[in-house]
Amino acid sequence: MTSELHPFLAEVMMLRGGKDVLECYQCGTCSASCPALPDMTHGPRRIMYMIQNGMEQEVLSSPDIWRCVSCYSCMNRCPRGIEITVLFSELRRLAIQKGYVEDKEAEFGQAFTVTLAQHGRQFEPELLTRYYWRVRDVVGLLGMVPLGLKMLVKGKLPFKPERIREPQVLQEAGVIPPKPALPGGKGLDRVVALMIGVLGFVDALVKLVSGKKEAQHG
Amino acid sequence: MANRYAYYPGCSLGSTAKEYDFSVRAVFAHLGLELHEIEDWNCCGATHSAIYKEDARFLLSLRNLALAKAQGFDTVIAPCSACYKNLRRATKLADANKNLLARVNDQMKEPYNGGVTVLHPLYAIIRDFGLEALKKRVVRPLTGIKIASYYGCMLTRPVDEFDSAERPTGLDQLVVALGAEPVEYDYKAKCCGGALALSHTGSTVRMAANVLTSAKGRGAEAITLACPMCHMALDMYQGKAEHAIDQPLHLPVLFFTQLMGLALGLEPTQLGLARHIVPTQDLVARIMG
Repeated sequence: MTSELHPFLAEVMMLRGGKDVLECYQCGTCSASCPALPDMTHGPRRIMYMIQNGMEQEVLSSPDIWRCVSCYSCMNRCPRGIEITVLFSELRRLAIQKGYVEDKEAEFGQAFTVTLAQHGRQFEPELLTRYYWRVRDVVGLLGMVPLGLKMLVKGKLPFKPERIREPQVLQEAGVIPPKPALPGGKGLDRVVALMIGVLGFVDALVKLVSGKKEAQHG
Repeated sequence: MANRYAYYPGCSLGSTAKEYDFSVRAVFAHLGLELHEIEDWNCCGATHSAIYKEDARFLLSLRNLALAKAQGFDTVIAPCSACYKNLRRATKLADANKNLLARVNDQMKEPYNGGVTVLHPLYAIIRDFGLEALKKRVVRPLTGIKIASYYGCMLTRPVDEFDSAERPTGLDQLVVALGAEPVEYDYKAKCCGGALALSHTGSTVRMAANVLTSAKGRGAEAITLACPMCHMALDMYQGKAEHAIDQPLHLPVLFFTQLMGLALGLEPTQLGLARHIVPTQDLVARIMG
């Protein structure tokens, strides 16, 4: 072989799950096993082919990498032992780094990670605020209101974030990029702070009214 | 000596799936299996941990394992399938890749140096308590109730030593031990789509509807499962699934620990059975007799 690897292929082969992409012989077991295939443009088999052929833009801008549900069916069945599910998650990061991304799941993933890095644990009301702020999806938000209310009644939404002692350890370790690089900026931070304040107030009020009765069971 | 485990509840068990947390704790205590919540545990990052940085995936898991070890435990119980998968894979990667471990340890106050095993409570009960012993503790056998076991994905994939990734049986064995009738159906190990519930709701609804109709079509009267994300898709989104396929389903979806609790004689209020979106009271009334 005299030809050099295409730069994008070489880049993917450095990713976790990427070193064996050239082993793929296009059997299609992955796509046949994929429960998200109806929502994809190419499916995992063709994505592997496109990686082998260095098609960076087609791969990283495809919605497919964001439609993966992390079910590990493809990876479990791949006769070539390629860690496809792991690779898809790595392609997501590459797509964000290279600015290819336009998908609501990309916004959700980032809203999720930013929220967890603020507290060390997830806090659903903040996650929802950050997510819907980022996607500006009013119809989607309204569609979730009936279920959200039911969840509220059933005690499935927390009012107060639980915090680890030093969430900044996670931030410093690079779980999220330094502040200036984060989208949303001060506007979103203010909205989140307001939301946490209001929920905290409601929580205190409810506790006061119910006489600190433990209402968590049942 | 009693079995002592570190307990990693994970974020969902403090919010959308509190009933799973209640019932895991209640059932373990009832069986004499001690759970000690890891102090200062952090979110495992679910499927999004590496979205900004590769090593973050391991850091988020390894910090919890280091805490568990420092607090005197060598076995961690993680009830959420996604947390379980993340923490368990991190233990294996830490053993296999010393460079990565050193890199991540550099960024943590408490380093992780191996020696922790991560178990899902289902397989911890099967392994450490045993289904034969469990049978003897059943006081309200679930006789005649047809229950579809739903395994989802990360409980058994990537494949591990506890069950088959294609045709898992752990939950079904448990259902039998509790006296119920297991239901065979096509979608027991297919994905519910829970991961995309907010961003691509249509995908989740389609996948959840497949699971629900498949179980219902084989005569299931309830579903039991072992993951808060699956529970969200099959319980909370069941209304959306009914709307999408234009037919009623009314399938109560219980965590396996809730089902165990009922069969072992615990009170429904201890198990959070009123917190579900799909009502469980008819099923509970039948079991309570």
